[in-house]
Amino acid sequence: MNKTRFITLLLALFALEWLPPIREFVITPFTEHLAAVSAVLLKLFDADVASNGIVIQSLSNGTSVAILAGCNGIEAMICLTAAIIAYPATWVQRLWGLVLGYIAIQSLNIVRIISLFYLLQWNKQWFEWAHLYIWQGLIFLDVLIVFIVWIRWVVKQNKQEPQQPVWDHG
Amino acid sequence: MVRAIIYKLLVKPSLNPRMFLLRTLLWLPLLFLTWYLLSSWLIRPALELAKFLLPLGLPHLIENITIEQHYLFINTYLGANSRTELPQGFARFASSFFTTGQHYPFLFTFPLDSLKYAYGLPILTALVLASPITAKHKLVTFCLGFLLVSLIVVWGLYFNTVNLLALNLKPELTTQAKVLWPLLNESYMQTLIAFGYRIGFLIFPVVLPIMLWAQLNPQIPHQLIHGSTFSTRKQE
Repeated sequence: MNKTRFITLLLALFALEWLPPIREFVITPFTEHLAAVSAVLLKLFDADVASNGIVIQSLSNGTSVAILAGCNGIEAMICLTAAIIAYPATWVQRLWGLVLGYIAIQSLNIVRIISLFYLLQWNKQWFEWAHLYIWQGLIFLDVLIVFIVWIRWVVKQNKQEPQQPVWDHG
Repeated sequence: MVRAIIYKLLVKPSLNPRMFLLRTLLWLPLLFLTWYLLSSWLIRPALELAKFLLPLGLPHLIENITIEQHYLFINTYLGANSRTELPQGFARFASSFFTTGQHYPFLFTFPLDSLKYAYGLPILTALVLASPITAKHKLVTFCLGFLLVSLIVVWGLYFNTVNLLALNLKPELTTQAKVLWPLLNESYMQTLIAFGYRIGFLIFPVVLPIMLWAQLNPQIPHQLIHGSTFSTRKQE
């Protein structure tokens, strides 16, 4: 992996995410959809749940969680994007890695949101603990695993099709 | 059966990605618990360094810093207004709103949780313990990781403090902070502060320790990818 490219991309994408138009037209709508999807999944086994924008609320006891920066998995997606683009592979391989990687990250992120929603209702201290320390780490561990699995797939695919130009040593 | 699993997981670890992930995840609960229980000691060097560096990096803004467990308490006189009496000497910072007085407590004190920048340590340790490398190599990686996490904590605490003082507090307080340190009025400085805070909170705490682990043990990611087994005995 080209480390310089990884770090440059990571910083550039992180700065891009922070631009007001990107926040307004990409990040906020994405986060709202994430909250809505989480609420739909929650409603499968808990009817007393509603979502409004980036907030998920329990109708029975009024507890609510807001999905803010750092909780929407965007930073993990940025990290995976930078790593995948920095690794020598074809753009098709990269695209597969990004799509499946994003799905893996957001699947775990939804588990995080749902678990935190119930943890908050049960015990605020445990909620803080899981929110600030454990889940944040697990999401990035997920990125590492997805990245390793993707590289294994790329290497395997390249061995099967050695005639294709796949290594760009940028 | 149980013996075989323990043997495969801990005694003769292979670099099969599934087993590696399982070993890492098995270590995590124990390491998170240990890290939290020992946090007051583990975080102390970073807090002492932050206590020394923060007043230097935030001139005139911080009066005093105290450490309690894993919290850094930043004591300031922000919040004073022209009617508030303050001890002699504090008028030196901003005569527009500080006047003299006696025995006045710090007006604005806020605690900073240092652990939200330090959770990379148990993750790094889990990766190190799950990696089939020599004990010496594990120790070196852990020690360098500890140093790195301490620096991440200092970065995080610095930018957390300045972000609060310059951008996130009530306008009454941020205005006073900007009078005390006029550089905070510059828009480029505000951008830099917000960027430093966000990257120090969202990216550095876990990405840098993982990068350090990969950098110090390049054979592990390489063999995880290429699927060969690797044992401690082989490396020794």
